[in-house]
Amino acid sequence: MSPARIFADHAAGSAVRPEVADLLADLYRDGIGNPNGGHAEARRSRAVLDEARASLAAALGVESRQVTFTASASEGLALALNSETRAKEPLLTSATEHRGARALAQRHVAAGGAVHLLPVDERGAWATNSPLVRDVASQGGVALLTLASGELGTIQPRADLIHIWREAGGGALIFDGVQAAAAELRFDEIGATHLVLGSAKVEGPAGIAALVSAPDRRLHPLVPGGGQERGRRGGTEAVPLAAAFAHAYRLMSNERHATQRHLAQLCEAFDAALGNPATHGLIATGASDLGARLPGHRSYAAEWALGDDLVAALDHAGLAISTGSACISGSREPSEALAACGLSDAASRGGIRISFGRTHSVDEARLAAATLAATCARIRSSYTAEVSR
Amino acid sequence: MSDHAALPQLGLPVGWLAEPVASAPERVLVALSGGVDSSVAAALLVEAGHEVVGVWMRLHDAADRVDGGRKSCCTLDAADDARRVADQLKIPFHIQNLEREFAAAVLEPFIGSYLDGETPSPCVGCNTAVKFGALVGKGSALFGCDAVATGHYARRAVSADGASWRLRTAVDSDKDQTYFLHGLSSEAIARARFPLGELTKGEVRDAARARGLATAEKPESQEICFVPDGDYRSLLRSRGWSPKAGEIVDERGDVVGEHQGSAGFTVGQRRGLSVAADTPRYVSAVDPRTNRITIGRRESLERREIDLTGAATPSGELQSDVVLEGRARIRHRGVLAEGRLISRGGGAATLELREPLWAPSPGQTVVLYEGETLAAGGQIAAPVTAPVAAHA
Repeated sequence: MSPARIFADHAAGSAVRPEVADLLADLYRDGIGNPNGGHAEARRSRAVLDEARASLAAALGVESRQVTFTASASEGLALALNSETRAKEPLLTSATEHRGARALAQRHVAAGGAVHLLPVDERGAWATNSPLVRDVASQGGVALLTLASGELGTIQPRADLIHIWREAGGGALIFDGVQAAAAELRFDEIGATHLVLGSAKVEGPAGIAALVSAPDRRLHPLVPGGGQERGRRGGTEAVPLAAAFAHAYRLMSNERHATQRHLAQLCEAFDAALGNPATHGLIATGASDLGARLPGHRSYAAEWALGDDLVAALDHAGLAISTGSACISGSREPSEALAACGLSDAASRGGIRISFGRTHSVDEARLAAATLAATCARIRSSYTAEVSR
Repeated sequence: MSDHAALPQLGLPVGWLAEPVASAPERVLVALSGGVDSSVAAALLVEAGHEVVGVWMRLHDAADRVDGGRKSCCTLDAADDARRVADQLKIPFHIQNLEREFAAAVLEPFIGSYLDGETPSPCVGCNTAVKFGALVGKGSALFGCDAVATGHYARRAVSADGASWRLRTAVDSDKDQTYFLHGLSSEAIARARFPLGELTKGEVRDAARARGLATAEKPESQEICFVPDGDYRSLLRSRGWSPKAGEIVDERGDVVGEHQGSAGFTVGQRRGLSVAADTPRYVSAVDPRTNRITIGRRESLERREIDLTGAATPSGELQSDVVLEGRARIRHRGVLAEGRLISRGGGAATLELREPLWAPSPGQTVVLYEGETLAAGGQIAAPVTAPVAAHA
């Protein structure tokens, strides 16, 4: 294996940045623990938790009481959906949703509810002009949608959708903003009912996320408990994790524009080094307009290899990437998102994504492109589609 | 008569040499099953200085349905064990999906074989087409691997001119698995690595313990991996087989009983025959066309002549009129019978034996050893020989 590895799977989660890791270690060392109690130690922990909540709220343009900490973004989505839907209300979700959202939609179906899939165009962008948006909204439906696809990199045209939705009298809009957090994201400007954000995608620790809700919404807990999180979520709060998440989010927000510029340079260097993807047998997927893509994100599909095979071969060559559609180990199922974009069955099984991070250098981006090109060439010359697939 | 026999060590035939003891460092793909054998195979290759890439093959969805209590190589628990061993050995680890190749080369032929009244050898197809077929291609394409290693108990022999390869029986003759590997071509054997060929099972277990491998105490898996509950009939039913009752006849053609579906029987089977007789009766023929099963006394299933299809040497199909002398076996660890294989060309051949072999079943694998090397193999043709009472 190559000694100098390049980790280009930041959309799956980045390593905790050193400043955040230091804060985490300090908090654990300082005995920050359960914030619920009548003693000084609990009050100290409570102060750290309050500060974390306030910091995150400020970055998102909301009040502290609108922020509920959860253990994962998936939990946040489930909590929001649990609070907003009854079986009689139809649910609007999209054809490019990640599996977590799909699983929640399936649960809605199992409870006797109707689920409608918002179609996407060939770039994976919502077809906001679909009559489905107005139809579901006018029935008082609820929408569960991801603001930017981790698999395709496409940032969704949310303003158009929200406008139509609100005009037609739609119910709650639940947005997954985990990937979109890298772009500008202020809750007060979005017009969402609920927004979910994760820590691991902003170089914070995994195991903590936040559900941000409109002030008038009441949350129905999935886990009842001792009144933690204002009775919205049972279980002792993970105070150091919450503080680390808030710190990471604040750092990311402060550096957002500089980071975006840097990621754009990385992608520019990557694109230039790779050349036309078609010469490597790759189909560029997701938004082609760079302004409508997540910064630092590139995605492709190959008709001549499984995405998992490309990931394995690139891993061996020292480049860590992913298919972007996490699923059962070794599963050969096609990606629903790629299929929804109209890609062939073969290409839908051959998706990969490359997602750079803040700390990459331009040289690393170029090396990543060279590694991708060389690996594609080796695989294509080694086996034919018939043998491998 | 014991049905199990160890292979005596008879040395290499003239013109064949043992494989070189040590080879130059190479990049080797190891098929890690999550069992102790492939774990040790990987460890030995790492210690010998090779660059090793570990792979666990996802072959069928039984992996998702079976809980960890089973001892199969194909559950998600097995994948976890393989990953742990790779981690211990500090080698890369990947899951390779070969479901499609497995279905085409193993699963579908297995089902078809039973429905045709034959006895399939699924491990042979898996070794030939999947482990030393598709996986070799993937290893080369994805990781630039020159060779594929497994935890099989087998060795290799090379011709004096270095141009051809044969399988050679393992030192541990009780564990020898060359029978299941017989379909490997000379080219495939050249790229195969069997690091356990010189070791006994006990030595392998000790080697795993000495290295603290996570799989050191793992029990053996014996069952067919894609039939984890051992009930292949329910697999057949899930593929549309609807058993129909039919006649059980004796060697004179007289109806002596009824069965509940001929695909549920295999030649040599005694269990499940509800027939009253003075001495034990065994299935001697299964005819799916007439849905009739013929039974007979034990001795009536002995054969000195067995017709084969697909008879081939590692270097290819046999020309007509070629005669190979050696010792044949028709079951893994089955008795070895001296005899000769007479080729009629086109894969057809007849095995003539000095002593009879018991209950050759159509579809089953036959191998012929020349000394310690596996010189040829094939499948038992249907019908074996005309039974006394034909189905006419």
